[in-house]
Amino acid sequence: MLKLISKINNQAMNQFLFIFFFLFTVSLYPQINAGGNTVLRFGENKNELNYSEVLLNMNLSNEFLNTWFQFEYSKPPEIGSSINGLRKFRVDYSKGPIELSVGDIYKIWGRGLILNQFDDQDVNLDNGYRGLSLGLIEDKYAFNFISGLSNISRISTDYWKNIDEDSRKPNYFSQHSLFGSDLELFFGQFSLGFSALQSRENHPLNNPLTTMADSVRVIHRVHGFRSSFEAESITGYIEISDKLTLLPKSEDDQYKNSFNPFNGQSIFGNVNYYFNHFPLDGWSLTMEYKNYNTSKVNPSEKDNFVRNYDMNLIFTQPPTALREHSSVFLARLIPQVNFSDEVGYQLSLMGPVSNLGYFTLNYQTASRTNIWEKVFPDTVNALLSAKWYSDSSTTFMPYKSNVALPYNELYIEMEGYIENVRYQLGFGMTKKIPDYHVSYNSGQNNIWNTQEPFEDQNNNGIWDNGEEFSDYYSIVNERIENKYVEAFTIPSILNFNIGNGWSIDLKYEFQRLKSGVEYLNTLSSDEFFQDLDGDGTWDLAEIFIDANSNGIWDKAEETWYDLWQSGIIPDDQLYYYDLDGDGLFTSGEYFTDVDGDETWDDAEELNDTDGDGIWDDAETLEDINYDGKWTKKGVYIDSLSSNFYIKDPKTNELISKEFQNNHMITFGVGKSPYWSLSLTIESSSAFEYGPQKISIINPLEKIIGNVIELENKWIALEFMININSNTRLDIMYGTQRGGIICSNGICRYVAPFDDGFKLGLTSVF
Amino acid sequence: MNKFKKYKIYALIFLIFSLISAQEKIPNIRLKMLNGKYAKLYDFLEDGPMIIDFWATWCEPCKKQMKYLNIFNNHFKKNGFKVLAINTDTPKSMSKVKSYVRTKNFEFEVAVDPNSQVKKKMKVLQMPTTILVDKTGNVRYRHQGYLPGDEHDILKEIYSLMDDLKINYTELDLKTANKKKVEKGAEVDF
Repeated sequence: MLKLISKINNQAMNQFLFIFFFLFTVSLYPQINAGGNTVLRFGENKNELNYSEVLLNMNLSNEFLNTWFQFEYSKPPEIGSSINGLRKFRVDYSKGPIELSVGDIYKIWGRGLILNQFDDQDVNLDNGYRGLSLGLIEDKYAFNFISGLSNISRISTDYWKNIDEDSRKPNYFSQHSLFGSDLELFFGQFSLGFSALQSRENHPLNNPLTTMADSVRVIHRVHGFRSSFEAESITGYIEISDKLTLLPKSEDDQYKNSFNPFNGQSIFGNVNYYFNHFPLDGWSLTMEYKNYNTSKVNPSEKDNFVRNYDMNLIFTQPPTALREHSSVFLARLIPQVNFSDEVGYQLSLMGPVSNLGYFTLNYQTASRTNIWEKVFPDTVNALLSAKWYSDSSTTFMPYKSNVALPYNELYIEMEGYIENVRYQLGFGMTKKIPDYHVSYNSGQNNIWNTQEPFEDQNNNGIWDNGEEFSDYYSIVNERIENKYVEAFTIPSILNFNIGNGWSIDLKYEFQRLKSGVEYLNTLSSDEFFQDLDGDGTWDLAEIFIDANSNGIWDKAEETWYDLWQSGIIPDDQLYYYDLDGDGLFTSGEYFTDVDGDETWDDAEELNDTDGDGIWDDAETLEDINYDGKWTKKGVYIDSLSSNFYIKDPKTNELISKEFQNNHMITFGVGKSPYWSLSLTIESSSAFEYGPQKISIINPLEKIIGNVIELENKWIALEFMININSNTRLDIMYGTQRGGIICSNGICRYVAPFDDGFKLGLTSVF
Repeated sequence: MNKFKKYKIYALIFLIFSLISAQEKIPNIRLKMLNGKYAKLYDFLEDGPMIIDFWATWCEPCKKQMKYLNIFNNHFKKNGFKVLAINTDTPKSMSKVKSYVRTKNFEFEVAVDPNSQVKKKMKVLQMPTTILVDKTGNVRYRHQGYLPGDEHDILKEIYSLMDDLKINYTELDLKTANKKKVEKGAEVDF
């Protein structure tokens, strides 16, 4: 039955279903209430980020029955696959304590450590299921049983099949069969909950042997417990879950041998304390703690759910314990949360400050649950033998070490009213390490070491000079690269309520951003070089002016005088050479014409750094750390590179900049309840390394370009009109800066929207 | 051509539904309250009409509007009128909902909808959305978004509904009420 329901995706069947449920509902329940809404979204711009989506939701309901149909026509949608026809449907029956649902169902148990389903089209994540849900809800308890199938589509660059360059179209499709139940019990101020869920999953991956697309069947089992407590000045919540991932017995050995799933626990806790005594009367303190430890993933593979299938619990979407910012700049810095491997906490203090408004202080920090170390166990093959290791200890607090990808943010805000003006002023400091990689390079030292095997030609049992030996790659350089982001951000808002429905909005955000890559090298022993001149140091090639462009330094060509001085020409033959008899070399007299140009050449200019009177070629160097010079063993910070640069207007040369200063100003005017108009200008003081698209100057920018310089600026004009209380039209024209958007703990890159317009029409009927 | 055919189908469906739904009525949905217990939407209509407001802690316009909804709730509660604020924060910021409501001294009822299922059943597309319903669950007014000044329109609609239902009430002076410092502690059902 479930399989049958899940396969209903062709258009004919969709239409049949719709008509069937429509007639069924209308015929059985004449007292129906019908309604719905539509969303129309359209976007077109010059960098080909075009989309067209129509969503139509229709509801039929009466006292006990509620039906929902969602149709989509998109070609293409902003993100996701194109759909043409019925997208979702559901029938809910509710009478007394009984709740029964059939169709596309979204459930959440507790805070989502075991099950949290939603349809978030901003990041193209729909983790709902098609099946059945049965609920029994009374004053003292609530019970829910679910069963169904789920096809989940995502975008993954770790899965090599059908990768979309624009990251808009999903290429990763997993199938799940779900089965689970949840029980909640209420005892006055206390509540208790117990949940269990099993997901049988068909998990696409790259075959570990052939690297071709393949799939593996996986079983995830999660069960857990939760409890809450409510009192006058304190409330608390705790949820604990335990996860088990296994492969069915029939699965191939290649998958059983290639990956060993990790099983572990997740904890989430929250305490709210309400102060009721002077001077903090009316204040509240919110504390959130997370410790999600259900997979072990090294920093290089931190988001690779394709290979690490034990972290692919798509139904587990617990709290991020991170503040949701309304500031655009701060929201861009929110990290992607790993729901299988993260520990952290959030503290938030909020309260009134006299009549000035409300003060908020928020501190949040997080890291991975383990300290990883990449180890280079032997020196024969640097590429294949380096492996990540971590201890299996449990941590309760986030780490500060870069390898654990730490993140922290301190945010302070004051908001309130002064007469008819609402103000909001914030200050945020953010620091994070988003990526961490370790790579190795190794080289030979051309010296026999005791552990190296050799060919004992004279059978004396020891290595003698000249005997061949296996020269191990014993000079090892470890290179640690970590990205870093540091920023401070000041968001501010002023809303003026002028009266008679008129209002003015001013929004200004500033951000000073530092971002780049930090390199740390460790060299196990000195780099090897051929010490040609025996001075014990590596010599770079001496510099000379190559007058005849033959690639080598030329001494002066020898004259008859040089040859006579050295005794090659005897005295009695001088008259053959010194043609004018002046005893000096003169033009036209004999010389050794080395380059054959028939003219005598003087010595080429040489920078004789070692003072030996001759030009020295570079001594051959095995440059293990690729720094272009000989390096002694040791630990050293190689460099700290920045992601930002500016262009020299004269030479067009790229000049590195340590910081990027970002500004965003929005000026808006509105007339309640009819319309509002806003102009947003975002500017940046430096470019970011990466492909740069040529910016197209649109008519709006042409006008504004008369007042301000347009380089590295994004300008957009937005207009909203309430056509009536049920219908709203939003139009945007201009350019919007791309970047990372995060929602529900998932982030995706949004391409810049260059010179185009977006239209959104929403209507409820 | 095929594209236009599709639009025609949607337009037809749209029309049929518009004709059928002469009077929009809210479904009697089961809600999860802020204290974790369950309630039915129509339970709140027993005493009189109600405003249902969908909001989130990250939504600035929602926060601006809630100040006025609290004033409406406090002023008209003696007439059986109430405000039900349905919070749509996902689990990631749900912990802050209680402290936000309590710190701001909001006295209206608060329910939670962490995976937006109630929001979908109530056909809510924008945040905030304000729905004014009469005692029988019929929707009298629906408003999407918030612009400063919208509170006057909402108040007018409340008056109109009260008049239709023949409920005696005293008019609310928004200017005075806005300036009045809230001295009373929170009475939210936690």
